[in-house]
Amino acid sequence: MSARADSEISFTFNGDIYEGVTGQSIAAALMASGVRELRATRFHKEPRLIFCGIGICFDCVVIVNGVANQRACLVEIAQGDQIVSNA
Amino acid sequence: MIAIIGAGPAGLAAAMTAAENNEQVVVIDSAPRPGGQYWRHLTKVEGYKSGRSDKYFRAMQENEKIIYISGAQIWSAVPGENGITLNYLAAGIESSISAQKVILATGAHDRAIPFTGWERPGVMTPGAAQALLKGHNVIAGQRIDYRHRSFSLAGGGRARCCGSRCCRNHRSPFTASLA
Repeated sequence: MSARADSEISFTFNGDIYEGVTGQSIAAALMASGVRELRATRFHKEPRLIFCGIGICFDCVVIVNGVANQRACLVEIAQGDQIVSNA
Repeated sequence: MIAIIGAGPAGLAAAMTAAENNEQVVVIDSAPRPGGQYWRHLTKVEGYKSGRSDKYFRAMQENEKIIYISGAQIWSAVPGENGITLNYLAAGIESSISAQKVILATGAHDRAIPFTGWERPGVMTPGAAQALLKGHNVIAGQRIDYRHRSFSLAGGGRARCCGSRCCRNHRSPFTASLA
């Protein structure tokens, strides 16, 4: 398989600009930049990051380009993505 | 037609074996690329002397006996006159495919045992730390806090084995909880 980590990508998360490389998940790119909260829980507003990291637990869901409930640990970043925390 | 669910090492091996025995095969997988949790490396898979992964990945592309469907979620399997019909969603489109036999190679994930604070950011399964490192070139943390007694925080022997090897390569202690 050819290398995937070949080009840099920029995207936004809650309005701030971040960078990552091709093939990185949203969660990985944000964690590499020091982000420690992908969303807050609905009622108690407690912070959540990743837990299972492989798409099983759905703790890391975010809104990607307007589509809600996308697993940040699975969805790969794409140039110009607008990502916000799940409401 | 044999349907194989999962394109990790087991599913890929099943697909190639069946294809070499002249069976028509369809491999359906949820990930965008073959390899499963094991061969998920962001860059080229290295360290496997046998070259098995390359052989399998090539077969997914080139073997005419193998149909490879990626990024698909199977939501039901219904037995009928034509064998078993698998209904799946791929790229937002519902489709179905029928097979006489179905091989499940769906793999495994960590079995996490809850403890106080397990939901906090930075606490994750070994599988998550492993996926970050292998799949995304991100180290989960610099400090180890590995919770286990009779049960481990997250369980698979496979995941723990791979995780510790990854971390040795990166000169970082294996971490289940980042500082």
